[in-house]
Amino acid sequence: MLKSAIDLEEYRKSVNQKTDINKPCIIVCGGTGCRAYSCQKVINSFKDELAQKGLTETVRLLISGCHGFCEMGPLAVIRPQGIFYNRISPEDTKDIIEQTIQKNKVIEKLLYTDPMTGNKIVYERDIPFYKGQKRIVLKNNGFVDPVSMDDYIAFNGFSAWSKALFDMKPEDIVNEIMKSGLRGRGGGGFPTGLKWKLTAANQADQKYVVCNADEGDPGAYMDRSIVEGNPYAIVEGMSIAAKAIGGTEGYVYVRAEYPLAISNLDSAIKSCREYNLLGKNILDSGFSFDIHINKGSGAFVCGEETALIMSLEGREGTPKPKPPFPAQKGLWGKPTLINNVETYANVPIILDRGADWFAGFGTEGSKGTKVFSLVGKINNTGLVEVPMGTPLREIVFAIGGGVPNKKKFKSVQTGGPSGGCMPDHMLDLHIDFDQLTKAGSMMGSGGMIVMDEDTCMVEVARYFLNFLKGESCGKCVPCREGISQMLNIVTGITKGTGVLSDLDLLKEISAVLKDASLCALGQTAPNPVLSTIKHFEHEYLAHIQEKSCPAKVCRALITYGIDETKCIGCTKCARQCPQSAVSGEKKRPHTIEQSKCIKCGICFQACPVNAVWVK
Amino acid sequence: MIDSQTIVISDIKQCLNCGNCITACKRRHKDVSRHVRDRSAILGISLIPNLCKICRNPKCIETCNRHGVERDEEGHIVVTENCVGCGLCMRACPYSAILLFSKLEQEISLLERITSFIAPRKSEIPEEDKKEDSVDINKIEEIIDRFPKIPSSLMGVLQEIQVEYKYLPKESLLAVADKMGIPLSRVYNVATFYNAFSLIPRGRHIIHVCLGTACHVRGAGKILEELERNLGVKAGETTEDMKFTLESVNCLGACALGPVMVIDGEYFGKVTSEKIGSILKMFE
Repeated sequence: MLKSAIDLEEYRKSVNQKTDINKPCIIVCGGTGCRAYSCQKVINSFKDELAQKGLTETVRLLISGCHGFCEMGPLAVIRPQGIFYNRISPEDTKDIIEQTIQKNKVIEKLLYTDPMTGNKIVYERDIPFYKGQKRIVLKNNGFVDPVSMDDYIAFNGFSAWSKALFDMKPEDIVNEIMKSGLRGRGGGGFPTGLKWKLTAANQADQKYVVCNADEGDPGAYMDRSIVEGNPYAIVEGMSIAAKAIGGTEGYVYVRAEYPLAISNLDSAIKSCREYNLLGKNILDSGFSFDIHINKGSGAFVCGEETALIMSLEGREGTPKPKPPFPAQKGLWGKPTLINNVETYANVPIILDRGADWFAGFGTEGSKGTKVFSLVGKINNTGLVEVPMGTPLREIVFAIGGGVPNKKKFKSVQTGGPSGGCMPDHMLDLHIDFDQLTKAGSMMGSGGMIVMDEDTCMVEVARYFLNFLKGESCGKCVPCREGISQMLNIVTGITKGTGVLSDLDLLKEISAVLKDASLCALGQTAPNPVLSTIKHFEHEYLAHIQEKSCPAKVCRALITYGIDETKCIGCTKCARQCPQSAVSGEKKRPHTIEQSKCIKCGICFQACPVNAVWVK
Repeated sequence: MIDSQTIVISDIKQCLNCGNCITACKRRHKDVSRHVRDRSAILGISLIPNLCKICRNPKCIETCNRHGVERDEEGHIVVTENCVGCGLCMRACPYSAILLFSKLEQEISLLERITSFIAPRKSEIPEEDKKEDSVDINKIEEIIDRFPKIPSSLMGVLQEIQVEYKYLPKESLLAVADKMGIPLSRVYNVATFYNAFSLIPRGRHIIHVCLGTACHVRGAGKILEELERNLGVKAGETTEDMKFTLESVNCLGACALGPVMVIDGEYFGKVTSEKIGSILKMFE
């Protein structure tokens, strides 16, 4: 229970004094991605080995949040040296303790190998994936135990909160955020300081601070990693916002599919209440604020701020017209500030290091850094934090390691279902809000999907339209009917029944959706279609005019066959074919009966000698 | 005794209450419709053709000793406010034209109509497997008590009920509407809006296939198809033996492992069509 700002600093001093920076520490990544790699077995194995050797007190085993290098999980960093081990299995833990912890020897086979040079890299800081990043928001991930108050305090936690409570007036806080140039990280990119100013200006008996942790964009998990790995930062960011705008209660709306994030955030909030950093009369400042967690239930549209507010009120998540904006009339009709997780995570850093320091990163119109989830056909799948203005090429190749299996890069899709696809001639684009919008895409929440020569762009447009059709709330006609019609047209193109006038029709319907949809879901739904038509028109034309799919994906337009000169007659394909369309005796070349073939591609994957062709 | 040669039977599930049958009947019988009347019962959005034959010597009026059934000025036979629900007239009517409703039953049959529209018709659960969990009202009340007593707690309450029963039994929704003072229509509004809620019983094991963009680009669609073939159900449905429910989900956030499949919380990464058979065998 801390009773004042001085108490907080005393506590921080005592934690720092207790900490021995030379104490050996095994930091294992416990993010959801690594848990899917069964990192829990690795963790248990470490625990057992340490216990057996009587080292539980002398060596710290820290389960951290997501380190970001998801492709290489399960992974661990051995500190204080900073040795990086990847793809660890439970059997390796014994060696790690005996060799690295006890004898300071490096285990070669667990080191990361740079695919470009073939060299093994020992230290985390030298790995190109990390070297190219500027980790400001993610700086704690991989260093702290997410639910440990001591760890957060040791890393200067809550010093910004203390400053905001005691040394700054609400207007000062707002001005500092405005000066920093921070823009919303959820997708809209609205200037955060301005939003705070507008919300602060409205008077009411209750004002709410809401954190949007719905993160619906498929392929994006930045917010999940922040909430899982550094939940105290969200508490701190929201609390500072509350002081700035006069907020009385806070709500975090987390999607139900993030159980670890919810549980870590819950622990952090409870811990803050115990320490008097949340609740009534925080640190004896006279200011009271508390935070509650609400779970979503599987509706993408609830990422839209007015729909989210409806959902918080226990109703169906249908958006409302704006104005009135949440800053004027939001949750239960009261002025509400609603910001994204990453936006709040930046706030304590800005107050700590100063707005000028923050504005030193990035471009004129987009300050600071942005966390991206780099996924899809990429070697180094994971979370990447770079300053705004970094060229796309650097992210995909230098940090991302390029496209696997020697395939040719085709496109990068940003902004989720609201964004667009950029072809290779746009790789020199500098990532920032305005540049991406000018290019026909948008920043969105930070999802970055890399696609290669085996991806059909028309099929990608169809995929996004299909997704949006299912997630449309159905309230307004342009979105409900428009997306449905566009989906029909694009599906027809993938099936070979498209006609040339379809492209103009798609553009026409798109214009209606952009102009007349109630919310951003409908307004941005045309983006994947328009951007793929703009940059990959040749693929659309091939589907329409030649009835062919250049990427060999669209089933109605491809044929599978077996090259008799390569087939060894192993019958593997015949055994796996779900339609029994492959015939042939053992050791004799097989054939595919086209009338039965459903183009599922199982034979293509199964063949050990690549005798199955597709065209 | 029987006054007419024919009766009208309609399929309530198909009826949209367009009123064409009333018009046709009126036209046929020169504006005095006998079979289908515009004072027919309306249940939900359907018209229930009136089976009453407007007998010249109605048995129902004869049996009733309270003036609960009368002939009105137009000659139709109607139930009046004197009716106490004894059911004598119902048993007397040779055409079963009189129905006895309890207020709650009326609501439940309305529910059945709504849920039959919403629940996928393909998922026909065999009678012997139709285990409708008997809902323990005390459990529902206990769940409701975990939350603040305000209508916005509705979503949290439904989430907890689904954790308990693996779906939202209709009795639980009735109880929630009753105990929380929320209109039943709004409870259904929320229960049917969000993808996470299920109104029909689900299997012992729930399979989630990730169809997020990263997994899609890595061929997740083929995985879903293979699962549909193997299990004989489409996404969103449950196998006949109630063993597996197959669901698609839009991004589990484990993109490095794409294509990803989760069964009962256990993650399977880099799934290929070949591996599916052996993965499913792990589940009993």
